[in-house]
Amino acid sequence: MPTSFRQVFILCLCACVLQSLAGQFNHLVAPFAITLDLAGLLIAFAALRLSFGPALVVALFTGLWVDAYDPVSFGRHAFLYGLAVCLIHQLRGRLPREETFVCVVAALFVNLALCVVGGFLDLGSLPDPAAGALRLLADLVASQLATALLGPWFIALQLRSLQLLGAEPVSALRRYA
Amino acid sequence: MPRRFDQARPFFTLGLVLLVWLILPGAIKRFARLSFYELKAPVDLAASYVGELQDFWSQKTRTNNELIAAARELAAVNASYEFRMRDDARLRTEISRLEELLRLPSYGEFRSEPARVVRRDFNAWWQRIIVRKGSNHGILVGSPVIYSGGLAGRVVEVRSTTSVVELISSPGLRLAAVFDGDDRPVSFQGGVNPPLRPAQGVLEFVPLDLFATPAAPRSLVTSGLGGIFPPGLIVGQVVQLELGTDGLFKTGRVLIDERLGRITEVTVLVPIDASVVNAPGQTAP
Repeated sequence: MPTSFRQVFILCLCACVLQSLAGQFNHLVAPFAITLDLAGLLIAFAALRLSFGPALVVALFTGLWVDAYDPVSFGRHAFLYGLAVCLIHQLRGRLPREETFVCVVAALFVNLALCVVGGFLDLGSLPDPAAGALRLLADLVASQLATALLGPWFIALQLRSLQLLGAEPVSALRRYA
Repeated sequence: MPRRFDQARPFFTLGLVLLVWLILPGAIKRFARLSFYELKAPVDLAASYVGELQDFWSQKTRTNNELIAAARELAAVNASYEFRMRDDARLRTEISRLEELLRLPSYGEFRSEPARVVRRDFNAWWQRIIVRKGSNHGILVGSPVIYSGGLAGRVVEVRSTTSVVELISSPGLRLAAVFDGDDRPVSFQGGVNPPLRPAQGVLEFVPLDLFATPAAPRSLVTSGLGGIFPPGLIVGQVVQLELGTDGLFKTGRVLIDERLGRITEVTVLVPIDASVVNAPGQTAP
């Protein structure tokens, strides 16, 4: 099996696991009216470490996986995740992209950007936009905290899974050595 | 390849993917969505069954004395329900007699289908739950859903083993309601979901002579008009009413029962006559 195929398969699987865990957590904390959205973590590693093609496939698959349950037009998250991968891919040459810290910071920025885009697109449709904005802010703060806490674990999970199946991405240092 | 194009290549690729996606026939997209949904559903179903297994094993750790006390409480509850069932049968007979006497059309008949909640999906944009029964149990899109606190919402999607319910706290749900003891319909819309507090709804077109305050709230119930919801189901408590911008009606806030946030079990009211939910203008979006 080609390495890029294995990379896509493993990262999609990891994204599904994280998404399911986040879904279960949101199910448990639903009475407190707080929701976690870990979108940034789903795509940050793929965008920073894989070549563009596989990273885009991971983003599109993950987006469609998220869209399957959500009452939004099917493909919306896929497009937004794809756009985030394009932007990170453009910037990653200037970053020490193999550092976990950079990956977590990229995930935090993706979360923030998706929240802002969501606010611009949908906030007006709520019956009370002010209360909606407050909820959105609370969700963003909780999501950013969760991303910062879970980020190192999830990045390690993806990296170790890739290593286990012999599909570790080529490091920049090795490539230019 | 020129460097400028090389830099734009990711965006060009994404644009190409978007173009292909836009011109893809709707049937393929629907099939893809359904496939992804059915791929994802077993994960949540499995988690739900594992949760029940956990509950089962945690119950096994209870002592005999605790079980005896629980059985005694249950017996008292059962006795109360038996009394209510007899009362219910008497009231149904009375309703039928009055309907015949006054030649009134009878209310739509429903079949009750209890279902466990697999997943609560609450956020600022929508408030939905997924229940563990679907088309294999005859659930229909648009069916009303109730819970111990009153009206929970309506079914918006039905799959083979699961159904998606849009809750009354969701901004996408509007219905005609009445104040308890009043027969003038008002418009209710969910969608005010502040953090760390129970969900609220918005009321519109409230007549000027109705009043409600946090100290003296009024119950809001379904009106049974212009929709599939049977009349008399509790929607929430009206805690605030103020004059609207047009001066002709009041607008207000409805506090929805906080048990909706912890909902674990619901009952789907499946209409026996399927055309009730499939009639034009009454289908769920």
